[in-house]
Amino acid sequence: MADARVRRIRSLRLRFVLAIATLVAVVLVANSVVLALANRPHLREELENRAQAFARLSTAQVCNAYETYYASGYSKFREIVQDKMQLDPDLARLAIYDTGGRELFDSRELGNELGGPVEPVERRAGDRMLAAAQSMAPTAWQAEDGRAYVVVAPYVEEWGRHRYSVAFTFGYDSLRLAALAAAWRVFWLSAGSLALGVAIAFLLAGQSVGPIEVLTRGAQDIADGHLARRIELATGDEFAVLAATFNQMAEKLAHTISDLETSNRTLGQMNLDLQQMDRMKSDLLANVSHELRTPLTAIQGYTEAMDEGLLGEVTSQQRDAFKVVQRNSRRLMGMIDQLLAFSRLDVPDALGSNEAGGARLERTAFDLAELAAQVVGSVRAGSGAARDLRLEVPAGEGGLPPVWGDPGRIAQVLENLVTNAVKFTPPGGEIRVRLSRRGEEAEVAVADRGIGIPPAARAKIFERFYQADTSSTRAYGGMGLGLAIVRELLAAHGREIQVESEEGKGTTFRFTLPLAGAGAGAGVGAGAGAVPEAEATGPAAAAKRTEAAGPVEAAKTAEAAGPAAAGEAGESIAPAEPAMAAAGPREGAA
Amino acid sequence: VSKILVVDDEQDVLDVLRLVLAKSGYEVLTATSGMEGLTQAESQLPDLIVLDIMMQQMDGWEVLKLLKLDERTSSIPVVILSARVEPKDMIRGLQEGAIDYVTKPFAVREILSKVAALLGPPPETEGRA
Repeated sequence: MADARVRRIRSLRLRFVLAIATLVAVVLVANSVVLALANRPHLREELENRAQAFARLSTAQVCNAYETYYASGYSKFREIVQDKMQLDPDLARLAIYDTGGRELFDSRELGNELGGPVEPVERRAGDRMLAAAQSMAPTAWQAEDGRAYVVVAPYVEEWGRHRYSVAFTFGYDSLRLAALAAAWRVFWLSAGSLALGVAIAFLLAGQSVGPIEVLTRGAQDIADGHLARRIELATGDEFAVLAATFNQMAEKLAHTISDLETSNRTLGQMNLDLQQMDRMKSDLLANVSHELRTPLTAIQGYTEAMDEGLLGEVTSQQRDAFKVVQRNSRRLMGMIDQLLAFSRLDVPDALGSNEAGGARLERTAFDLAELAAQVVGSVRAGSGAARDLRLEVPAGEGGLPPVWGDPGRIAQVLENLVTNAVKFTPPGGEIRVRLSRRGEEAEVAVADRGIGIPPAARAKIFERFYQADTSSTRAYGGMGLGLAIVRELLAAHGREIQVESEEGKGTTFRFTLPLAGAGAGAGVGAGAGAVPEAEATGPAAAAKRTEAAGPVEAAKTAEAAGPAAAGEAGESIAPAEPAMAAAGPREGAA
Repeated sequence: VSKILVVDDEQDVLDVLRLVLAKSGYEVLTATSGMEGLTQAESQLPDLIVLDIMMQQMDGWEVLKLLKLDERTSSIPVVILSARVEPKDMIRGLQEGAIDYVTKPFAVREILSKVAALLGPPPETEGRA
């Protein structure tokens, strides 16, 4: 990551240098091209002017020398011509024509130092040269190949006689050399400028990229958690402003983080305190439930002893009173059990350790229908006697496959749900416990036709010590722990309890458990085979079976509990309900 | 006549147990503290001890341990009678040598049937209707 960042910065520097170098090079090349183009005509013109001036100044001398020395003393003439020609290195040729166009002398044929004049071969001037030779005014033109400039100047004698014309031929070659020399100079100049430009660009790039690198390192340090780090950058430009802003941000960040850490610590401490308090509360609940058991022991013991006749003869009225005392102390016991059960659930690590009181689940595969039948049977034999309480299980071969869970805990869940339904259903009302299969799960629904739960209260009913209506505590009894325990126990199974309710129409609680085969990952042979059958025949058969077998089963359960229990269920407990209701106001008044 | 020692620091519980056990024809000794229970056990050598767990000063666990260490009392069957209903307490009780564990509040019939199973049927059910 750091490598990538460094590479990036280098590339930025490189791009900067390249940009400046390119700029310098382009400007220089453009300059030199423009310069060369602009200079060339100017040089040519200068050469031509020089040629014309030279012609004007030299014609008379050359012709005089020709007349004087050509025939007699050729070497002198030759010397004069050579001197003349040396005056201008560009002068390539000098020729003398008479006005008839005949060439009298050509500098290309000077001959040797000691020899006589070299008579040119009879040479005639071309049309252009002829016209120039005849003209009384100087004439100039560029040679046809563009490599030379020809100036023809007339020689006029004192009396205006025009006898000769002299043709000076200047070569343009020096022009090309001059251009080449200029190009060479421009090249070196460009190279030097380029080097200088690159050097300056490096410096500038260093100046602009350097602060970025400093900023980057600082930011990286801060990102690594060194919040006290500050970026020192005294460039006095926008980078310095950026660095200052960055430092401010780091400072704010440090403040925020330290604030967060403080509040985190506070929260952590509060959480610990709360856990501690929760544990203390659970301990308190456990202790209270233990302490409450002892007096109950004496109450129940004496009542039972009296009921058994150990303290003398008992009248039937007294016997009824003992039953009421016993029933109420059993209710009290139930509440104490709930308190204890809940205090065990409440310990945060209750489900993970034995230390917390054995709330650890002991999961196994078990027959949910059988368990439900036991629970329903016991509730029906007890508080549910006056209600139409029935269990509906899927019929057909296999019925409901075994489910996976802690049967003891699930029994407690079922008992709490059914007892709850009984509590909120008036005598004669209908309560249904339905088991069904939903794919790889078994669903349990406990439905009553009771008073229902107001929508606002639905979320709260699973909170401990809550009842939908505060006055319901007196009317319906109980401590509001049952559903909280249900929720906790199902949560321990990784399940949720669901509730549907309509005020005045009744309430249905539902939960699901995994089938034993599904939970273990490998399908249970019998369970898998039973799927289509159970689904096909399930609901209809279940309904039939309930109608046919329900009451019979109820009767059987009552019988199975023994003659004494049947007697109690039929005679004592059912009629006792109004008595208990009647006792309510008295208790309230006391 | 079989002798039963009941150890519990709750006088009321002690009384009701004495009542039902005596009515069933057993000879009943009582102790209201762990220390007293130990002394009684050593001096009287009862046939059965009913022992509470949660007592002041010396609790039932300690009494049980000392009973099992003393060779005169180590063979006397001990039935724990406790308000602690957690399975771990029951398991501990049985591991430390108790022969049974009954939770409070108990049913009189349950206690009587357990005692009868351990000591044989009560010799006389006097006063029983």
